[in-house]
Amino acid sequence: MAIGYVSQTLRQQELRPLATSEHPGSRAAIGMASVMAGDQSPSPLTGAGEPISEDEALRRLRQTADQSLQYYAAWWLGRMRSRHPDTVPLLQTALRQRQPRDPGAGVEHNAVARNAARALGKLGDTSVIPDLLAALNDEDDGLREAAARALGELRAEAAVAAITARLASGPAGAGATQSSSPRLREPCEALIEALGEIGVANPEVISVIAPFHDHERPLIRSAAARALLQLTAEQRWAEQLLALLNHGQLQVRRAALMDLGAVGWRPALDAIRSTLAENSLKLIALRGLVEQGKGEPGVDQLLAAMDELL
Amino acid sequence: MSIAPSSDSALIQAVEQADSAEALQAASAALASHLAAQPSPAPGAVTALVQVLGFNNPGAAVAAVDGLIACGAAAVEPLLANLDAHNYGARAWAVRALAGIGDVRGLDLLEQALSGDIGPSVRRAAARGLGQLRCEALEPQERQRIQRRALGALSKAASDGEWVVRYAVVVGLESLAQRLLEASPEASPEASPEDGNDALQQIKAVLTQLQLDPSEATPVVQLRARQALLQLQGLQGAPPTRVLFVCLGNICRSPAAEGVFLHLLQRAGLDQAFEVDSAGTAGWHQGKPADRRMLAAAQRRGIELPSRARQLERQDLQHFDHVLTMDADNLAAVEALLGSSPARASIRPLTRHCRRLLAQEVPDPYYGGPEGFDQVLDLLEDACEGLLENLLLERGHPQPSSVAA
Repeated sequence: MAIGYVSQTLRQQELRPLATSEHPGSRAAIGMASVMAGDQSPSPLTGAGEPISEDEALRRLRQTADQSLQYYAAWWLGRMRSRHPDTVPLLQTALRQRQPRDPGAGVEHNAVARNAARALGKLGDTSVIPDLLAALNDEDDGLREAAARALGELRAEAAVAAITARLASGPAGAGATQSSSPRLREPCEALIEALGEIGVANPEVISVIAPFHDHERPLIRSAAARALLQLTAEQRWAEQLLALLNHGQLQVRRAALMDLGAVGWRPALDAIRSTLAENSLKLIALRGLVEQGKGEPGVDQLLAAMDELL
Repeated sequence: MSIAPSSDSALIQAVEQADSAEALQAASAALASHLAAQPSPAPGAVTALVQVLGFNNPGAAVAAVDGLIACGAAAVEPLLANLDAHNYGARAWAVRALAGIGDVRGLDLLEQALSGDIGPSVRRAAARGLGQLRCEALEPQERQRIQRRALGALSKAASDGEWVVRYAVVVGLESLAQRLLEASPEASPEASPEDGNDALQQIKAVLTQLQLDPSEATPVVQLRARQALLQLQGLQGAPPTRVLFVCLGNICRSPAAEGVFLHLLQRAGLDQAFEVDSAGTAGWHQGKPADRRMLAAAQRRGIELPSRARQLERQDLQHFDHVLTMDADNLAAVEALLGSSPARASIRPLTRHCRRLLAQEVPDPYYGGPEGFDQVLDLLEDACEGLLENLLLERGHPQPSSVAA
């Protein structure tokens, strides 16, 4: 193990580039994060815009009459890494809240619970893992997705069996398209990424992820290659990600950028520099190479490349 | 507006008549590279290129920004004259172009963008641009006025909420410092040299804060700030900081400390800024590599121990800036070697720098069991982290008294 105290401390702080964007730690959000020059923070529904205090955020989460206020409060508490003793219990309660989608208010299905899951992933309190495991069994696949990502952020080894079980039916089962929507039956991308983040590299985990490396959707292929690279450090998975940097769709190139950054695969420097995508995303990817990676090219070269992209 | 030459007008027409995103992108790129190649591009044609920024076509805008930057000073008036307050996207691209051009006429806009723009990519471009304003040709007082404004704007933005903006602030401050150092005070009697010094001190203070402030939770920003500080010290001719670890035989604890510290330096990209060595107060093991049990324990953590044992010499106490001892016996032996002569080096127990672990000494694991080596490495990692941070703090704020013993 090549990790000393320094890197452990850094990891606790917040190493993963994705987790530091305004969004839940996921490249799924990069579409929003990166709209060229207009990459401002999203305003999460009503109540956004004006700065609020921690007390105000807690008050908004505590009340249940206006769910859009709760939604924003949950996001705020995660984003601000709130350390207030009421924060985690309130988010745990919010995680059990269910509500239908309200198209009029622009609110997603189970919006408060989903944001509570995302916030709990950021706060680093591992005592909430059982709550997130419960959410991982919810019938709402969007909530399952948020819970999976949070478990990945918390490096929850206790979640490996449950996540692996959800993926075990493979690309034709978990990875098949739902009959009623274009979504997959399971939130495969989030589940696979979480396994990569948690980092338990046992043969069962690897054999469950491996079939997804040639899933019909390039974003799933990218997620699988990322997780397999994290778990095995085998060159071939890096090559799959490098190939996706040349994919015809911008969205796929963006995902591959985020994935190479999350793994910190430093040999990807030149490919990252030359792929056709926004500098904002290249910078996030290169930050990942600096912070997560090791070996050549070295830090000096990586920082020089970042300077060029500003 | 002057009349554009005919080759210009054909290219402008192609931009105006483009009927698809691809066609607009191609036409913009063609116009941009055409203008970039001209010694003095016609203002009318440059204005046509500026207008591309407002077409909501990122590919075309990227090409136009590159072309405008290549046009340099000739693009500044058309850019400022055609700012559209209601088109956020166009404005953001214009900021990028002005940042790239580095003309002082863009100062107002760059300041506003850095402090108030909602897009982190715009703020980051503005930060970089504020460090690159070309002031060389200006009167010294005017140059100082502009550089002070740029410094003020960058210092404020050091607490921006987005890491990438803070990163760009570091890069901007670094280039501003380089420009301040290049403008030699002797050549400009009207300008007070103190002003340049104050500005440099302020830049160092902001960089040091970004490097060490616990609220700066983004490692890459800390790394870049460190690099900038070192770069600045290098420009000012600062020598490397010399660090010597000392134990009894120089085959166990001090080689491990040396390896741990080198490992930290490599991770931080700081190898060039330090000279690191180790030595023993006794000379029994001269020329031997580190103890194989310690080598193995370190290797399990990915740490190499390059040391070969050597005995401490009196001149080490003049050559090194910091001598760090493992236990009270080492400290006494070093002090005895020094005798009554003054040392250049500060001589201190390494455990002074521990932050998480409480220890007076680094115990000698030589005669103990295998777990002793890991305990020593735990202790050394803690102490060396603290040591590095303290030394960087010292470099950031040079205090002559801290160098004396």
